Amino acid sequence: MPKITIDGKHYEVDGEQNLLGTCLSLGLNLPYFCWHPAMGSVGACRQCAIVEYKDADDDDDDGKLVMGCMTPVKDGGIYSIGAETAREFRGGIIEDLMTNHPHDCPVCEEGGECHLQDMTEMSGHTYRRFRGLKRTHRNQYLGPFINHEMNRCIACYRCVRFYRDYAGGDDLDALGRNNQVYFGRQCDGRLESGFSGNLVEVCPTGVFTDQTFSRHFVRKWDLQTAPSICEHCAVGCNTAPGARHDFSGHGENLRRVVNFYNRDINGYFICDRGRFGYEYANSDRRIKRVLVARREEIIGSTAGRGDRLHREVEPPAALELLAGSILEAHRGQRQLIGIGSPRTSLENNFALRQLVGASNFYSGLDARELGLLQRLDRIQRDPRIHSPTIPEIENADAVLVLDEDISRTAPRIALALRQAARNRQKAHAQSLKIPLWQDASVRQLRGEASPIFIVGSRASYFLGDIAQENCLATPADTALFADRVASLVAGRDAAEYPLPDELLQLSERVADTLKNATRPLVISGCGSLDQDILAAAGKVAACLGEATGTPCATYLACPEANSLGLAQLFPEEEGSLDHLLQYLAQRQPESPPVSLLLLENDLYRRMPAESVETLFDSAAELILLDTLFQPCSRRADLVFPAAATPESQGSFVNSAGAMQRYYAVYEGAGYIQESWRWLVDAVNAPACRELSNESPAAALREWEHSHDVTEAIARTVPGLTRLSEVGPGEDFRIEGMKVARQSHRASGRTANRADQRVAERPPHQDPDSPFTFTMEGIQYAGASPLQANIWSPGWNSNQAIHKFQQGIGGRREGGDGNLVMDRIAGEMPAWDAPATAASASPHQPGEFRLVPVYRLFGSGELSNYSPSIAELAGKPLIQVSQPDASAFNIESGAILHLQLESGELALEAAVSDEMAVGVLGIPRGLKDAPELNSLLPATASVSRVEQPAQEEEI
Amino acid sequence: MSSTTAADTIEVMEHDDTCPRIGGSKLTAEEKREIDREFAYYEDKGSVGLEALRLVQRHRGWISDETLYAISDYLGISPTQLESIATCYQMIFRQPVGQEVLFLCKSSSCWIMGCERLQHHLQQKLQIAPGETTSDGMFTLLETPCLGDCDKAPVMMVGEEMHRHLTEEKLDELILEKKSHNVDQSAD
Amino acid sequence: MLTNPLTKNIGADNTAADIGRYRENGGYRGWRKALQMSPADIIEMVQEAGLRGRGGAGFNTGLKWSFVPQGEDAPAVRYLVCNADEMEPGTFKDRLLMERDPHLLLEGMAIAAFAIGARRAYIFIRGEYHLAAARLENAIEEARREQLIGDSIPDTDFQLHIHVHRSAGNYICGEETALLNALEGQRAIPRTKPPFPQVSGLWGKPTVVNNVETLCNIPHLLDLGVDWYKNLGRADDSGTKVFGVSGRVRNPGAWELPMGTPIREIIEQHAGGMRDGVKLRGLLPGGGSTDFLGPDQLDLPMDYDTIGKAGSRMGTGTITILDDHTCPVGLVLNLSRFFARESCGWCTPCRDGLPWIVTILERIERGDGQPGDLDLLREQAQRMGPGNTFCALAPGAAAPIQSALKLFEQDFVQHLTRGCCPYAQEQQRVAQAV
Ligand SMILES: Cc1cc2nc3c(=O)[nH]c(=O)nc-3n(C[C@H](O)[C@H](O)[C@H](O)COP(=O)(O)O)c2cc1C
Ligand code: SF4
Ligand code: FES
Repeated sequence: MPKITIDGKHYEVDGEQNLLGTCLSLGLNLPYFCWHPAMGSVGACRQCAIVEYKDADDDDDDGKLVMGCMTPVKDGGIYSIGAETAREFRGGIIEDLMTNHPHDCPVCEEGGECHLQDMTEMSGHTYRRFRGLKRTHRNQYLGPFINHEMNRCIACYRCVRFYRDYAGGDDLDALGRNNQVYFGRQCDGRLESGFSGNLVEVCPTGVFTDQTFSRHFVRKWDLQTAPSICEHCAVGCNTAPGARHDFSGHGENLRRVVNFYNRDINGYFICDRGRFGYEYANSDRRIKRVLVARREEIIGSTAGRGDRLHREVEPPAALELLAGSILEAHRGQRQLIGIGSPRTSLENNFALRQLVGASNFYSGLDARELGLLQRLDRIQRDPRIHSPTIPEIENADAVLVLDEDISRTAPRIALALRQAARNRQKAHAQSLKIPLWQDASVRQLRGEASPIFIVGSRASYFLGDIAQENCLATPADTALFADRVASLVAGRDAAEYPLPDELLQLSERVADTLKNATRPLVISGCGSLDQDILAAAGKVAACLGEATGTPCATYLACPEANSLGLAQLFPEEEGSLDHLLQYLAQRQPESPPVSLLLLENDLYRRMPAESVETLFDSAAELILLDTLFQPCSRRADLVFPAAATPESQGSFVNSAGAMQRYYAVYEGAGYIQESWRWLVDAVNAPACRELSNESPAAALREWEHSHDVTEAIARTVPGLTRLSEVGPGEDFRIEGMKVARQSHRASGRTANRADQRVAERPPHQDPDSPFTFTMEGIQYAGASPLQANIWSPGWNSNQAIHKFQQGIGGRREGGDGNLVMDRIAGEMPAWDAPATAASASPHQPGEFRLVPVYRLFGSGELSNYSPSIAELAGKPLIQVSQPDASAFNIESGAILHLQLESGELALEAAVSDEMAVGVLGIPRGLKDAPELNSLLPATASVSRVEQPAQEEEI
Repeated sequence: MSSTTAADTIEVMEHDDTCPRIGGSKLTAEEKREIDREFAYYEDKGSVGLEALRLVQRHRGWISDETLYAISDYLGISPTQLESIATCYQMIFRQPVGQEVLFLCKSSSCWIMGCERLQHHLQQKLQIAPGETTSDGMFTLLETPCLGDCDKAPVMMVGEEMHRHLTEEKLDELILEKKSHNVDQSAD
Repeated sequence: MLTNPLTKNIGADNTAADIGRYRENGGYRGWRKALQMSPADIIEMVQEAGLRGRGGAGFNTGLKWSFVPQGEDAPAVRYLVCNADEMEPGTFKDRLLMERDPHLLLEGMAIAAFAIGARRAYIFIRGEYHLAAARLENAIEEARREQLIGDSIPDTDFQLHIHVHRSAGNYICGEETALLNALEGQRAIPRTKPPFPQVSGLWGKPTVVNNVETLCNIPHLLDLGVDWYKNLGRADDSGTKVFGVSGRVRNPGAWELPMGTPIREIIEQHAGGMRDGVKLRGLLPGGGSTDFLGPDQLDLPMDYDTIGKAGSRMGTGTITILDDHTCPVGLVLNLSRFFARESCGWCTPCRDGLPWIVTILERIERGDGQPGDLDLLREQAQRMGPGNTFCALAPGAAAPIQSALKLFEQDFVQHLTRGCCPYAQEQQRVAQAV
């Protein structure tokens, strides 16, 4: 541990960081621009100057000016941040930067959380002597997410370093040179990277700002914030959404989402679906009132069978109806059946389960999907494997990705994989004694990428350039291939695999590479919808774990934010919608009528429409709790408005098995509240007074706070026993106070609701969490897991995070708030090798396997209601490989008629060089084509190709 | 005509080109041959960006957007990356230039020896400022850093040929000669 | 005894020696000798001879070569790059060598490549040097045909391919690491060191970058030996150098002279002294990025260390003369404009500081200068000092500014007090007389 002296004070430091990082982690303020904790140093801005002295004794040693970010810490080193030369130099740099920077802070959206403002203040530069003209740039249109205001650029090069070097984008670069240098695209157009939103946070000034935020902009200090979890995929990135009272009479309004640092799960970056998907919460499709079906039938052409007309009722009336059903069920005159959801919290799901009883509770997933999750869960419980964190993924030295389109199903993981590709380069750097924070030096070493093998039905564009091999194969072949890799790793006989030569050879290379790696990583997931692939991935990992003696890092992607959490509520082979249908079908006609309670789930996305109808038809009553109007709401007899993730508190379990808590950022409009609370309210309603305390439903009466539900889960559900430790309960206090969601500068307190009443209203209380909805309370609890508004004196931008880390890039000081489930360990069963026959017979000419195709924008259910994302979602298309297209004379734009076992399907075709031969890609999750979701898996043959109308040559 | 990739699957992290990669103009066989020859000398195709720009510019006089897309497509590097390189160099023209490009040396020795006066003279004569092209499309005037002929200052490069020890009279002759030469050619 | 090894083939007419003439004059003898030696011996010999880089920094060439990893574990692929991006204002020596005796450079490159084990070499030539590039390409073809380079060089398994890479007008490409980026087809931005190019350079492989003139020194050094080479120099440094003079002298030009030839001798004997009616006020000893020297420093020998100690740099050794009818502020403005325009745009003091300096100098020259402007200039120049910026371009740009502020302070002050350029009319008159 080197000992150093800075401005006369002695410190002992770890020496891993450069001088700048060391100063920052010691809590010393040293301004910087081009350095970034995740991207290292390049020495471009020259802002972090510091004086380094030769030795202590030499009194008249003036020292040498060095750049903190480019200087390693020397044992015995003597430095000064405060030395006159250093301070003058840093002030001069700011003055230089300001020669072209406009003085437009009041109209700039970065103002108030601007790193440039902070650093200008910090450097002490106040007076500008430059009197020349400023240069003017033309701004570009960069798509629906990002604004561009190039005149504010200070050329720190962070944007291209993130966009190009870190995230592999090739459509944003530095153009021109000298002080004309311009950061943009070759021409106007949408930024193609799915991580473009990070530019907003990476850029230290207001060049790249959030366009969705612009439309309802407020200053950072006026935003109300709380720690949240991204609900748009199962990675579980931590976010800090911001809300603010909306003057158009809608109550609070979600204004934006930014990244919230969590070392293990998302670090400094999130994807664009997560950042821009939030606007569903502001959608006009939100359910805000309680609705009850009118008794008359609808007569009209668009109304379907069983569709209802609704009217608003006051909550007590509706609760009385629900309570009545609950009581009837208690008396045996009715049966309650609950259908849960992977997109809502454990608390909501558990409350429903408790209300209806475990045997009447279903997952809301079809047998195939639940089966996949349960298999995935089984694999993760195997002691020979372990679920890696983001830093562990970034550290992998050999990776195998098995038919999981990871950049679309778990984008943040794909970004981590890009970093893993650099590990050989980094090892080379270390052998040359180049510290890893010397980013430019490390990158210029070139050299080979660390081995990443991708095998599956669709090529990865995002990882294509760094993958050592990106091999296209049918799902059957992929499973068989993986099984062979497992056999090879285990040293078992691997002769009998009817695979194409290419895959046979590849499997040997892959097995070799993985076996010889010190930190191998296997990636797969539910994305392929293929049990065999999942099983084979598990086998590979287990064999590697056995071979190396350490659990093998294995990332298995789940489809939705709480898929894995939901799966914990069901024993194996139980709880699917198929089970429910079966059960309903074999019920006696004279059994009591059924009330279906549907929790935040659009069943039309999960089952064929006929099955949904059958399900609804067999119930006497449908009660829906949801955030947005969705197709099922038309059939509902009662509709309760449910809180969206940023409006509620709850727990998710991510793909890696980490349990995480999110807190309400603001209160939902109208009667919106968490689903579990509606259920509790019903049980507490007068009609339920007779409900005996023995009834399991009566347990809900005990629940007052969100944490009560959480604790009940921890007591009841194996694997989730530590759930209540994930975050503090509502009685948590710091110095006797709750934590404020608003900053001490939040404005408009008395004006906000003045349109309703002039007198200042009492602040809303938050019974569920240790937060207040106002500025009262602890303002800056950065050292607890509760602080989402990252701020420190002099550090108004998100860069302030380093004040709350255990060293640069370390954990948050207050803890990251994620705990891994304590599932019962057990080796996975010895699943048979996938049926060799299936793949031994090469696919019949004209016969195709239908495989799911995911889109970053378009496959996420909720994010599709964000206008900016909807703009990019695109229409449903069948993806066909180049060779198959030529064989069948299919052109892009042609209508492809397919014959499936379940019927006929006609859809426009798109010829793609990303698809494997013998498969057809069917888009999954699109808002306007839910019927496609339940088609898979299937085989199909082409019955007809309808060529596109030829464009007339002019 | 149908494109080979699905233009409608708007999706990020996919080759969905918001800048067209292939414009109207494709590279000619000869241009391709010249670029191909360069491949042998560089570790990867992507390294040949500047060479390709320079070679194609010799044929076309300047690099239009379409030309840029055609080269980018041929080399397999994105238009933005190629633009990033193109805009690093002052001799890659991203705007049309005249038939004759006048590179007037503006560096120290030529400045001492009176290049400002020559520039003034040229501007008067041709009615253009540096960076501009005469209305007849004949001449483009560019200020150039030291041409490495300081002992013969002031100097100017016209196209690829050097003109040294310049005076106003010599400039007049030169312009006249170029004009008649170019007129001759266009008469052919 | 041969005293002009660099220019002995250069005649009065503007032609290049073809390979026949070059070989008749003893050409490629050094190369043949080198092939009989071990690379390590060649490196030692060059180091011993005290050849210092002629690109400006004056680093010992043999020592530079010796940093290339040798031995079994060393990367097999290495590169040699000849830096022919001569764009330094006032510099015109490499053009001469390349246009008039291309084989000398090729022979030097062959020996250097052999010494460091590079089988591929590039000549990175500035885009404006069309003739030089064409002659070099022609010479490469000739040498290849005579099997002096190429796939099969008789009596050795060494191979060498030399390729001419034409740049397209960007001064920073002369900085050796920016040059490597440019060669790789990336933006011409200097690189972070370490790793040094000798360890990880072009495409991550060990690479040596040498100036044209440096490499031209090699063939005869190999042929005639260390002692001969050392004795060529008149003072501490060995060898000869192409010195040049431009500006208002009677006979501007370039001449090969011993290292350590006094400045006065170069200007008075070779350049014929100042033209009638003008006096010498100062000079830039080696291009636009060196500090001005005054008339009292004419007796200094042109020697790396001597010029360094005198507060300037030998740079490229081509002298630019400032006469008493030319405005020093104007000259500094001219140079600053050049550097501002050629700044690569990477680091702040250079990218944003230089344009600011230009606006200040412009207003001083216009007569709109303000009190405090000179301090501001000094401060700016200091901010661009060595070590403060990412590469050496900015310190080079600061050199003429800061030295002019010392040497010609009175001129600056006069601009401020008179509210106009005192040279304006003078300049006009002299120019007309020329
Ligand atoms: C801004 C800048 C421009 C340079 N331009 C040139 C140049 O045009 N030619 C050259 O040989 N060296 C130039 N150099 C020096 C090179 O970086 C490098 O030191 C030299 O090529 C090494 O060769 P040598 O050791 O043979 O001198 C330049 C340096 C800087 C900082
Ligand atoms: S969508 Fe997934 S990867 Fe993107 S921010 Fe949300 S949780 Fe993270
Ligand atoms: S942060 Fe150190 S130079 Fe930019």
